[in-house]
Amino acid sequence: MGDAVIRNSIRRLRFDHDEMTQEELGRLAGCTRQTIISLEQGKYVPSLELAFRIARAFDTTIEDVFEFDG
Amino acid sequence: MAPLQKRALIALVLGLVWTAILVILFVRVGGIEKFSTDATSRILLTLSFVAMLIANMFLGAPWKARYGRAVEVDERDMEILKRAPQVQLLAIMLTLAAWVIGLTEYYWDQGSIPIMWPYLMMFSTLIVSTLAQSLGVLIGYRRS
Repeated sequence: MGDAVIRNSIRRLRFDHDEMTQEELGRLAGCTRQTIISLEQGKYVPSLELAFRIARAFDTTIEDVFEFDG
Repeated sequence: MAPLQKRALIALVLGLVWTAILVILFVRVGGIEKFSTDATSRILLTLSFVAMLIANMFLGAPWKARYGRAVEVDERDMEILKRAPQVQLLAIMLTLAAWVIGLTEYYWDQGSIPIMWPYLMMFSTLIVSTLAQSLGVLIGYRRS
């Protein structure tokens, strides 16, 4: 416990979705642009709810966005 | 900069400036002697303290309103806000320790502490507490 890392593909998925802006993703997922920045930098791990909302914004599953590395 | 982070920075800067002004006024008006004997200066200073605390409370409060379609405060902001009291607690403990040790050592020979000091201890602790909340929020943003 504690050494596990949760990686995400938000940056890649944004570019795959017509270069969606961080602002737009934040609006779709219900969070601020700063939180998206923090997520992309791997500084912040979202709640399960936000993770689902981000996945929904990309119209994909949570496993496609987040990867548990532990 | 996140909206809450911006407000915390403004609250901290304004709070520090206001505190500096209050301390200068307090010293220039006559310090503890005047504060304990002159009711008018005591009331004025007390009102200034309270005004500062209220202003800081409004600036530091999480703002849940949404401007247009952008989210102002989200779960990360709330998490940072929840962790800020750790900094507050430490600041309060250090402030109280500094006051108690300082006053006790200064008035050791006298055997008692003048009645007005606890009053100032309370206000300074409240001010430190509100400033430390803003500081805690800013530290939280630096870390996450």
